[in-house]
Amino acid sequence: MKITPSNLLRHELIGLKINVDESSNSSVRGLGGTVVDETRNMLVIENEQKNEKSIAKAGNQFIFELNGEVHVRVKGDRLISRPEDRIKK
Amino acid sequence: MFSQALNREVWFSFGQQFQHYCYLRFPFLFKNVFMKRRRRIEDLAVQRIERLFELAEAEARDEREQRSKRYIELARAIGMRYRARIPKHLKMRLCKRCYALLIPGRNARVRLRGDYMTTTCLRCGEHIRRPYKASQAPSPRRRGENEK
Repeated sequence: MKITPSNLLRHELIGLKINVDESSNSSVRGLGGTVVDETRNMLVIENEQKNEKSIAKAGNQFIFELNGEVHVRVKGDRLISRPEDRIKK
Repeated sequence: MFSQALNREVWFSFGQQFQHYCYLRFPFLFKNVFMKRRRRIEDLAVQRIERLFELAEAEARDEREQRSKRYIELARAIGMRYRARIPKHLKMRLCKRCYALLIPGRNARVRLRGDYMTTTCLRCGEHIRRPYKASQAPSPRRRGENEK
């Protein structure tokens, strides 16, 4: 069983390609890269220039790219919880 | 009067109450449901552990120790939370003392010593021994069978 839109919320986010779709913070909007680390409230994103940026999950909307084909839009508020607690949610 | 009282929401709540009653009265009927749920969670947990190990190895080969360490930490946290074991072929690649991902030639030394294989973690110096031969000693109970 691979990572699919239906189990994305419970699956591993690290290593996925991500784009910030909507945000109340205009300097974060449109950022993209791969997810490098995850905490309860933040996602750490690394862009192509190898710069890390931590972005809050709350209030932002992300687009994840799965297996190089499928794009899923996710509200960040649904991702708030520690990475190891997210399976049971 | 009935048509108003027995609208959809009321029926729905009846259903929920009935379900709850059944759950309290006949818990064994729900065993299957729980087992299915638990199996699904365990399956997901193992998938995530495997994915994290993949990422950790990629990072370790890129010489980013911090990230590799963090991914192993996450994988172990998932394993502990959901009683999912770290698969055996991955567990063998962890140092049992400092939980570093061992990559032979980079941060681990592998030597054969007699009946067992010794892996030395070059970061903390821990020796991990693993037998690689099946034990040949016949058990005393089965001696008669072996002689025949």
